[in-house]
Amino acid sequence: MRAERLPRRIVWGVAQSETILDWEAVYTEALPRLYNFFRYRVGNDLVAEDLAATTFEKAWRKRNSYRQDLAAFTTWLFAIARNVANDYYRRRRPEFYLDELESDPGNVHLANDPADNPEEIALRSAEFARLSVLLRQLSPRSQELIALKYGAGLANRDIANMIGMTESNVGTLASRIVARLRSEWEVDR
Amino acid sequence: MKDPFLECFREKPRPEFSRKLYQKLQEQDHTRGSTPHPLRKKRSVQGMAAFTIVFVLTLIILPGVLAGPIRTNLHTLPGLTFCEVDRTPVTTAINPNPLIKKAQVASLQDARRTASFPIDIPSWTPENFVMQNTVNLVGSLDNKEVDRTAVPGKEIYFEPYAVGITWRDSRTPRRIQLWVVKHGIWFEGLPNPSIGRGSYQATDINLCSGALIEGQWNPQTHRWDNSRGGYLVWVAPDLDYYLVASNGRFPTEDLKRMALAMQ
Repeated sequence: MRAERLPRRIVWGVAQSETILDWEAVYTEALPRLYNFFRYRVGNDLVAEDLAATTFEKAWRKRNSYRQDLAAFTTWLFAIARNVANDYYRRRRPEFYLDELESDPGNVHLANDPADNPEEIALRSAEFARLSVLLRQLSPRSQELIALKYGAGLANRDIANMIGMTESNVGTLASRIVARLRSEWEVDR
Repeated sequence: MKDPFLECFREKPRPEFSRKLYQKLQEQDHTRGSTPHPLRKKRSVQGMAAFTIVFVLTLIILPGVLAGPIRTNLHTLPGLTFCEVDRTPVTTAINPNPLIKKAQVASLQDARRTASFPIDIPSWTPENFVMQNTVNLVGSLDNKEVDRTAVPGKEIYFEPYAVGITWRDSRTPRRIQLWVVKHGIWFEGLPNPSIGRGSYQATDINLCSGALIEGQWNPQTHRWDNSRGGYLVWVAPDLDYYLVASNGRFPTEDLKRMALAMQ
């Protein structure tokens, strides 16, 4: 994330803001983090794309309200992302269109043409699906922590600020969760 | 604390997705322009006022305008309602099918061992259609895990609520899929599949209520296209069946014949 560059057409902040972020750099750096945060949070690549897009669009619309220093940017962006994820779980409801039966029955990048390379597709999706199953058994708070730490790759300090815990508590809790996941992963193998 | 066990599942966003989203954000920027915030706000108020005036005038002068878009025709099967519309529903930012699912492929034999419901297949299929070696299994993340000792050596790790079997035409891209779905699971909640106008035809399969639907949505035009395939849906006491013909025109009579040949 670069700062203090001359504003291009796409910049973060406006003239009256003291902080000017290079939007392109922000986007390049933050999108993979956001995307993986949502993948770990919802266990589904397609939904993760939608939620990451929603987050960026919201952030873009609200860019004028962002007046903090650069260090707080990630916190701000992920605060939006967490709300987007929570909204998603609140309004999640079964809904379907007939075409999806044919084109996307599994919604896990499985069914575009499963018969073409079933082994590869199955292996790729099965491992992540297994992890998603294990993650879903955690409390929502633990799921969020794992998504922030191992999906988005955020530091304990940033996570602590976001979810209202101390940095050391974040580390301790993460270690416990990972140990539990590892153990269940091995048992399941 | 780094942990490769968990971090190894990270993936890069698809380049196409990254590029399209970035382009979309740029377009928003172009649309809004670089107008300072207060002026933009003033313009949006003016815009809202203009829109309100036009909308009110529309209500007064052209009441029939509203009647068109909301005119729908519903057809109901047990637990399932089809809604005839002119165009596919507008795509929202959120995936319209947000059920968290897991899926994998397996042999029909293994699927039959794992599923808690019978997976019957038709004894008749149209000429040149060949059944694929693997079937699709779909389950929700909440479905119970399978005791894999019951399926030795296989990687089926959940109990599916839907199983899909595919036949392909050896000469054309046409394809038929049969989905056997536990009743009430797939469509729990808001079962309103949208179909094109005039495409619905009530039928019955072995005394079970069903529907023959000719055509599919064209994702490019968002219009119903009778040359794209069709559906046969029928509802048994515990299972829902979907025969889905794709990638070309398909006689609906053949779908019905397949359904009646289920064993």
